[in-house]
Amino acid sequence: MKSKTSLFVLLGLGVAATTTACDPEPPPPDRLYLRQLNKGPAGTTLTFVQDAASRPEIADSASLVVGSALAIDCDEYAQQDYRSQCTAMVVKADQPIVQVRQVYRPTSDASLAATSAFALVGVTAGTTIVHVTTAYNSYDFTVHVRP
Amino acid sequence: MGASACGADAGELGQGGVSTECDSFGGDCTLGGINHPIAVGATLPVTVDSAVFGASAPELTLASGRESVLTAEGQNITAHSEGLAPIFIGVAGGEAVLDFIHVRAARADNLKFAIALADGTDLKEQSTLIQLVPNEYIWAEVAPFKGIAPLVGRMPLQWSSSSAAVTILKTGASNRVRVIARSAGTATVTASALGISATFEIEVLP
Repeated sequence: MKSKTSLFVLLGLGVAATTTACDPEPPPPDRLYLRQLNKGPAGTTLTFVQDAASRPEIADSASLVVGSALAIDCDEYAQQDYRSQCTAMVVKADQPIVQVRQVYRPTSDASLAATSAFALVGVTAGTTIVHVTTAYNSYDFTVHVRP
Repeated sequence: MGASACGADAGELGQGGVSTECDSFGGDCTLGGINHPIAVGATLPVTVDSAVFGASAPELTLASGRESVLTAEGQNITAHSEGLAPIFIGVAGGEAVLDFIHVRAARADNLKFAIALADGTDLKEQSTLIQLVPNEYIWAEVAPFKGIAPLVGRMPLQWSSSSAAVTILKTGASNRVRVIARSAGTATVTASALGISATFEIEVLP
């Protein structure tokens, strides 16, 4: 009986050691990835940073016209290999010239719980900073709303 | 002539959409959706669809992102002033949206008729005097336009005839009537909506 218990303990340790060695915890994401989801009417764009070779996909400004909506998907990356949907995302605008709405992006299991995307709606003409904050990262970009 | 169901108009995120009914002018669905502005003062009924495969169909709602231009109530979109607005398709009880479309509103400046004989033959040349004999009838349908651009939406319409030579019968479709020849004479048929009106002439032969 004593030997059986020892065997189970050893097996358990072996499994734990194997799990730790082959399936390490992914590192926390260190950058955001914003992607324009809809084409929208003329004048609705997300402008990409051209000179940041290491982060070419990150937007630094968005343009809207009053009454248009721009949907933006948010992913987070850690190193090169890990990508995940933005978690606990909060999006806020400094000025009420845009309205922010959460957008459902169903995951592969068709869950309607995934809300790692958002839409900006142009309310009035002007410029504002929009802050995207997740559990790990934050990112600000400028939004221009044209009449 | 008349309304028929259009294909689904996919939302901009591919997760939902709306569809409308065609009218005789093709205004609601030339390319498969709301491809023309809604006339200010008019209401467009739509059917809302979800394209989320694998999920049990949630109850969907419509909401406008700019209520000074368009409002959404139930499955109707009403235009209040000229401009552009996003119409969001959302899940009932939730604040997040599933998809959206952009819809324009424009003010109509003229009404155009589509007229067909009882057998369904369209009368393309509406400026020509229409001649009927007693008990013959035609179908008349009217739609709002801005210049030459067709607009869409159901509007409060009033039909009238200048004489008893014809009788105007409602059909149940708000923008379509049946005009029946009654007795010899001429009549001017007038349709009025959105502060504008249009006419066509009918001569009833003995």
